[in-house]
Amino acid sequence: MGETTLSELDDIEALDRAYRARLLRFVAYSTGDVDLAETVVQDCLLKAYNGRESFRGECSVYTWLAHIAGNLVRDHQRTRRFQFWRRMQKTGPDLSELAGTLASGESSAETQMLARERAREVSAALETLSENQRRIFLMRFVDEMDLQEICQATGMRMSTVKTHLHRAVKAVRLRLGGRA
Amino acid sequence: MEDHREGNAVHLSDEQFAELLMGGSPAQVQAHLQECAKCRAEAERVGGAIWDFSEQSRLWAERRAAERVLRTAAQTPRAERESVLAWLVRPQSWAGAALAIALAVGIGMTIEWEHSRTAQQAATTAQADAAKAQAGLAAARVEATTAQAETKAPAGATTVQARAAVQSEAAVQSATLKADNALLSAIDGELRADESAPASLYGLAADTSGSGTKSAKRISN
Repeated sequence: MGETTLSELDDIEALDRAYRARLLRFVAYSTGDVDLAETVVQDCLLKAYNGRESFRGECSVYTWLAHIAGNLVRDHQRTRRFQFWRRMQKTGPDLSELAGTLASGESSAETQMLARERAREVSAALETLSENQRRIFLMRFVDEMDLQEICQATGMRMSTVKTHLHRAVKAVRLRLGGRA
Repeated sequence: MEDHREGNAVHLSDEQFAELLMGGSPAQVQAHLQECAKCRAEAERVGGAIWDFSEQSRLWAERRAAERVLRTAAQTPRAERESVLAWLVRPQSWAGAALAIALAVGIGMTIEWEHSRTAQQAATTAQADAAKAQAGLAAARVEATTAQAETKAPAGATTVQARAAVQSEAAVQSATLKADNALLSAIDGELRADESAPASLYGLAADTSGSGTKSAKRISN
């Protein structure tokens, strides 16, 4: 890792600016709980900063952060409290909040509406996945991490990662009207 | 790898589809996509939906993170807009806070300790003054009695007797004032000593052995 990485880890504000949004997206869709995601991301950044001496530079900073965030998510998901609230209420990211903020100014209102509808379908499909399938799907398709990085972030073997990913893709395809 | 059959047509298997969506595109799969409109349409639909999801979730997360920054900035006064997160992780911040607390506690304890010690010393001094004043009063009374006895002495000593009478009166007055001062100081000292000093709560005894630098306010002529 170069000097940029080291200075990134030495400056908590830079770390926050560079990775908060990306981590928030990953954790929010992993847990389906935005408030919990905010807490986990905060904890993750603090933990990474405090433990920066242990970062050996064998992977990217984001892969390392995703590993920490994944562990924190798993810790939270194990608690009874989290399971209770997950049953009681859904506080996941609401893509309808994005009405009017879609990136492309060229696309028509109809195109934007269709895009939002498709995104919602994928979001709904994610809820049917197991925790590992969802986490790996998000790492691959949302965070655009390669398989090797996913192995580093999850601590899983390549074959296990591929299996989870194939199952996740199949579930999403079915949800989107693909062949059974 | 299992082919996906539909009638006579053979379509991409789940594994091939997953590989395709994951970015892998073997020549065999690419060739099939060129020929099979159904697989091509499905690949575009699923790939497009995942891309839409990725893009919209990115926008959502960026907006959420930006809102957090704005919320923090709005809640924090301009002079203190430095991130709370940065403050929390800065070791010197914690060291500074600990030092400030230690100083505050230390100064408070020292003031109370000094206050208690001074009160004790004032009480001791006042008691000694009271004893001296009592002795002075007794001496003055003896002096006055003697002067009165001298007034019964032979004529011709009138001037001496008058002077003695004035002196004895002044001595009595001075002794009375001293006694009053001493009594007030003693009361004041007792009251101060009765106040519970926080230092004593921490097991620190007030030192009454030193010589006093302050004394109770005295009545002056």
